[in-house]
Amino acid sequence: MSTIGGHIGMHKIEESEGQDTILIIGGGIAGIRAALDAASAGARVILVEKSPAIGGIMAFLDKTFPTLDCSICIEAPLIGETIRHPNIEVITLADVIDVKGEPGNFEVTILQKPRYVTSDCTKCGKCEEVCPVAVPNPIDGTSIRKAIYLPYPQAEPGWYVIDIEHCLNKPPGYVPCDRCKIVCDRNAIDFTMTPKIIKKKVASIILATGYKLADARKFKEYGYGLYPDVLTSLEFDRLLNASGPTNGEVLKPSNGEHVESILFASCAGSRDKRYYEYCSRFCCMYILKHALQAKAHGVKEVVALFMDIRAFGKGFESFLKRALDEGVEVVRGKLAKVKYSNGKLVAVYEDTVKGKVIERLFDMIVIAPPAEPPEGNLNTAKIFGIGTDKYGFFRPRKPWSPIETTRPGVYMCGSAAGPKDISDSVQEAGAAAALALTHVKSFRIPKEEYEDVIRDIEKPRVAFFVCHCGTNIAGVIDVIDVREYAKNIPDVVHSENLMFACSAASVDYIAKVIREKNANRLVVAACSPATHLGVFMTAARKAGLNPYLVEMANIRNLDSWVHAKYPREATEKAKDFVRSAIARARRLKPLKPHIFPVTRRVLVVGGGVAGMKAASTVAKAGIEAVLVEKNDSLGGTLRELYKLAPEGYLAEEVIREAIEEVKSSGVKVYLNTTVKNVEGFAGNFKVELSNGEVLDVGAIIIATGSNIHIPEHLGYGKKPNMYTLLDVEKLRYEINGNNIVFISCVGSRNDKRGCSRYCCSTMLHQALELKRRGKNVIVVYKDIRTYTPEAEALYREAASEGVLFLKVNSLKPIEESVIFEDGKVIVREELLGADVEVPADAIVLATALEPNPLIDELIVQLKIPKDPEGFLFEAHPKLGPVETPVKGVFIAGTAQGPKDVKEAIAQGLATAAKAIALLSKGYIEKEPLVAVIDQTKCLKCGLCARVCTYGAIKGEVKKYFEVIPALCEGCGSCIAECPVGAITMPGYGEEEILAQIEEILRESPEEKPIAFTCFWCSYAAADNAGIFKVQYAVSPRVIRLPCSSRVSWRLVKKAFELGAPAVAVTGCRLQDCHYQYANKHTVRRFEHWKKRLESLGVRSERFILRLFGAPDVPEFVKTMNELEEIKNKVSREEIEETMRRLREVK
Amino acid sequence: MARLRIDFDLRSKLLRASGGTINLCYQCGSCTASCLISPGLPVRTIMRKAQIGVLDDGSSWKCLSCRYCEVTCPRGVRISDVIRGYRIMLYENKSVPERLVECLWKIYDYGNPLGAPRRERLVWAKGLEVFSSGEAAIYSCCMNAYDKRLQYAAKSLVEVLLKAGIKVSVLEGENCCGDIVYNTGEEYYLEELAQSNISVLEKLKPTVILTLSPHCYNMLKNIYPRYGAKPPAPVLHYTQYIAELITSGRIKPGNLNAKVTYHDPCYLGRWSNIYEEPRTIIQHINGVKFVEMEHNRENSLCCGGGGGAFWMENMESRKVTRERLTEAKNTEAELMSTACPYCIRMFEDELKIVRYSIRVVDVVEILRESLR
Repeated sequence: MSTIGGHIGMHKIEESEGQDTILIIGGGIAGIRAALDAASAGARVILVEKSPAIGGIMAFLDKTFPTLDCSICIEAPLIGETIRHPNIEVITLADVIDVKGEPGNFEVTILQKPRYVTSDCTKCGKCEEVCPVAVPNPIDGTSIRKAIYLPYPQAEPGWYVIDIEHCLNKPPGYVPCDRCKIVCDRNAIDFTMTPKIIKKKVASIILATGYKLADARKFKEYGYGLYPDVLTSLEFDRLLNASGPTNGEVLKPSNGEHVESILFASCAGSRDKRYYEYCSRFCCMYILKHALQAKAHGVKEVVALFMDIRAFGKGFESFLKRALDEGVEVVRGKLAKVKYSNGKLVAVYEDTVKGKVIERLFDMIVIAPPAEPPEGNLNTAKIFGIGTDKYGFFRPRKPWSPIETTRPGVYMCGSAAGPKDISDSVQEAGAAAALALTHVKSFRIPKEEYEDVIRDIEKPRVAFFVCHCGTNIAGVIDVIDVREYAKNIPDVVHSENLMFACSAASVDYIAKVIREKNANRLVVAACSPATHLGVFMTAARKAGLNPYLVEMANIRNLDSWVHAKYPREATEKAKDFVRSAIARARRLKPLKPHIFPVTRRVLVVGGGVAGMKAASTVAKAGIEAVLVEKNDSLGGTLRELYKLAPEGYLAEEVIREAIEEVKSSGVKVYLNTTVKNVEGFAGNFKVELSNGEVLDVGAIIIATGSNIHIPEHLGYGKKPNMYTLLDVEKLRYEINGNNIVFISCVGSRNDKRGCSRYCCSTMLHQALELKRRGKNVIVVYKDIRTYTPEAEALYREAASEGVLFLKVNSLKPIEESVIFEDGKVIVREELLGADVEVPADAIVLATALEPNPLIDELIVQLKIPKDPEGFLFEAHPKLGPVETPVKGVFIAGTAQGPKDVKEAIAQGLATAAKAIALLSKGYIEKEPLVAVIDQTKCLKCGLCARVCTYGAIKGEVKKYFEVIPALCEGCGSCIAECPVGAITMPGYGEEEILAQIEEILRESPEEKPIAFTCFWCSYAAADNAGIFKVQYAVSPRVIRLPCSSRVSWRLVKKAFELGAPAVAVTGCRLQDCHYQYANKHTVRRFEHWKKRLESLGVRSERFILRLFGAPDVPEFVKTMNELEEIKNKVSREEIEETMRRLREVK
Repeated sequence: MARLRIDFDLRSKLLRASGGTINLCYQCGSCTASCLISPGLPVRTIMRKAQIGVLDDGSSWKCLSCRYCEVTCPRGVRISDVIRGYRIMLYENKSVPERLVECLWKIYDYGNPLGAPRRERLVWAKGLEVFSSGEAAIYSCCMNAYDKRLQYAAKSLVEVLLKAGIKVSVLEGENCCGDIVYNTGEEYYLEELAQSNISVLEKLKPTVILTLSPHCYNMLKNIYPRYGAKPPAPVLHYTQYIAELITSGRIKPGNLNAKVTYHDPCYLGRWSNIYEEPRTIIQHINGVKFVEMEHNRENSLCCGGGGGAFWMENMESRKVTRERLTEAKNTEAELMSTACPYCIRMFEDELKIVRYSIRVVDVVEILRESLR
């Protein structure tokens, strides 16, 4: 593999210590994302986390809104990537205690507390069993954990940790206990560890310190802490979670009974002068999420109390509608008091629309406490020398750049500067990484070097090892029997048992054996490939064997741990897994990551503030940036604005700064220019501009903005006294007349469109300005959505200075609630239940932002989908807000959806980080797991191209079809779709999987139901079932696939044909698919195959589909037990009949 | 649907009355839900009407002015000020409950809302060693002056002070403090009352002015100065003064074996922020076992007699009285102490109906008892 060149346009600087390093504090989702963005761009990253594991609060959430993704399922891959990234060093249990120096040259001191458990820990959990100390789990408050514990099942770094404050052994040995130490086979517990001082030099710093929920005991009226069935939202989230205290059932903590009625109360301490004045921003949405989940869990009465429902983000409004449709009672009011009566909670509140005081009984009440700065935040601010706001969050240096702290070179992202939801945090993380990268002087893209010395691959020679994992495996499975059994499997040249196959010494030993025996395949029967395949790939590399020739048999998580009482059956199952793994390994081929060269140039389309920030940041990183603007000047919509809400700073300041940066960074600007045509893919696009110029670019950033809705139907444009918010800005607030009426949500929050997000703050800012000019100002609104601390303060200010607010129905279009008459408007005021006549000398309409239709052609060429409102569709609403499903194409600003200037700037910066990371290496490297079409078999029918969700298969019917490796993500859906089996994929081709099925069903097939699992969800659930030691039926045999959409008719047919009594197809829930909803094809095919099987006499009961997520251990276990039951109901005759019938089918 | 018009003048009047806080109300309904006479008083709706500038239909007369809602208000709205603003407007429109009008006339005619003769004002102090000038001037409250039961509290106060060797003076020519007048907005007459009471006080040349009623305390201390009637000496509620005498050792409380609870009068507690002094007095009495009720201090319930309800008598406020008595009963205390004549009268009257075995006493009465 070639070595990588330096950055274009950047001097190759002698690497001086620290100049290549970024320090990130906080390992929550914001810190993780910032670390990955910076590290992928070539910076070294030191990620300091206070707790024993990274993942943050997101790791403990059950689902995320508004897509109801399984939270840990979508975060875990990022956590794993962070831990494994060669450029990232994770330091847990650590705090920064001192910071000296200046941007480019900081000196930081880190204090790391001892973990008392070394990296030799295998998570076997024996220590936890014997630990005598039980401590309430601080995360959910209701469950118990031991003094030695794992923060959460998928925690990384994946070692246990000792909570020394509660440990009896508190060094140096007060009450000698040592039970954990005695039981640990690996000798991984070390009580002699001491705190460490680590000194580091870094170029820049990112604070991603997050938030915590305020102690709900402060808010006495809710009875939290007094009544056990009053929970905080986080506790409720844990209650919903399969790995939570009730394994995912909604039970009353007081008596363990099922909950029939539940009340969710918003603003439990937020927006409250007595407690926390600001809005905590994400509660409204998670309440809707919880309400929907409660409904899904069978809770009959679900009531949610809100004042202003702040559903301001993309897709949030339709989420609200969904909650209403599914029967959630949404009431406008605030919980005033909680009482207790005969085992029930009594909630007292006023339904403010009906004007009725309600006293209603509930089984459970869930309150949403405010998000506040984490413990010791002011001290953190002191250590880093940065300013805070009056609530204790970090304060931005400039109101329009929420990423920059008051100290140069120190950046922040996520909730460090005030509460933020996951997608806003992720977008800020990218932005912070982009700015932090500007201080980095040298970049390195580490490359693991090894040489394939073992070249004779054709005839398989398998080296096999079986791991005892202490007693974890050997305590149940007869390891020696397995070893001896493997010796007789064809092509096995070595079979051996190892106490701990993954220890550093074992890895070296395995490498030695491979070399000595000249083995060309490695199979290890041990734990899960999800966690350990990488370890054994390293062993292969050390031996000079291609790492893609390694396979594992998961006989721990999927066998010994879950069948502890059935050693004989578990040993037989292990043998099946071993045969299956060896069969697959024999068919593996040496592979190399795909390498694609890239053009180190970025095209930014749109010269508004988002585009300018993106372009100048890319240019500062030494990558050529081309900025194309259709108008004759830069600045976009901002040019027409006067002051920006909520702080009221001048728009021209922002433009001036952005234009200066564009100039000084050397961005190439094309004015009066548009993009005419685009072709190509990530790293290599060809772009034709309207001036005829053709450019090669590696990445494209779309920052084309949006349009302002023109409400002609209300007479706008004809009536002289009717303005939009934009008009008022243009007029510099010079509006004639004494009575000014603002009308919100014009063109937004209706059937077509959600919330336009920017308007509430802007409207309030203008209203206050006009009020201060002595006018009567009336604001007609549905909900006031001032979701930042500054905006909420503006709302309070406008109110206290006398702006009058009239509320209308939140769900109806505004046109139904406001009647325009001559010189006045009639408002259907909801809180008085009366029509209010409002004198109106001038009417200001807060109009929606709409998609920009001028870019339609461009996005068709780029194949970027649109969301239901017509804005550009991001790769993932939570974790990929600035990426598109098309690799190499990013979106910033209002092209993606309505947002304010700060948010547009953050997105602009974030896209820059993505583009830099994509192009900094000079090439794109990709896992070689891509589909290949065998042209000799291909019918050129094009079915494969239709199911490819990445557009990775191009061609023409009856002429040709081929896979573009750069775009293929390896789900294997095309393989399943191909009618003639012309598509293969390394390791996951039909041949390999069919061979696995054959091996598993070689003996007594009628005893072995087959379960196809998706690596991301159901296989992970199977792994987790092992971690939790949940016991289930032994008979089912699991086969691992990349995605449930990989399951083909051929596989299903083979299983039944060989005598399997039952077959289960398992995978992610539809919305959780890791391959852009590829699993919708699974569902479609399943229904089809089921009918086909029926027509062949296979009873439909024998073929099942189960969709669930990684934490859904109960679902997985249920499926396994179901397969066992089905097996017991299928007679030998029936199986033989099936085998006979299927053998006849071609 | 009814059609209302915005009245910008009315709006700004009420805005001023609430010190600008009324506009901060975001209509969460916490006030209505927590209102002690709920659902009788649509507090949030009244606030909405005030924001828009719409006249109240008279419901604000029901308010007990206990300010319990203000404790729950997340926006710091001075709800009781808005209610008073509305009452003033209602008074101007002659839309006042008849009973209240009667009271006002009686104050005008007799100097007290009971309609008792002026010459009997100081009957309560007969036989006590009081002077026409001295260290502590006692402003007695019409209730303590005329009501046979409540006279005992006033007497007890004098006796306790005398034990501490303090020279006590009482007011010849004292009139009603004008609490009701203030709450109906008869501004000119209030000014007259205030001036006359202050000029009487001036003659006594006191070093401190003590009130028995928290309502009088609020008027003398906070309201009179607004009408150009500045008291000649610091105004204290008697519990403040006596608590100080106890802690400084000038009074040594005696013995009383009883279980005692304490009810915070709204005008002493939420209005005047005096919570600890009465408790100090009680807890210094030897032998007393002191217990709190479920709701206490800022969260104390109301006796049901505030805001003129004492004079108007309605079932809604009686419900409030009873609720508080039930809480007191639940403590199993023998004595329910408090420090406001309205509270005592309300509780005692209701006790006659509910017949709980608890006695209602003024804090100063149990102190006096212990000193016997």
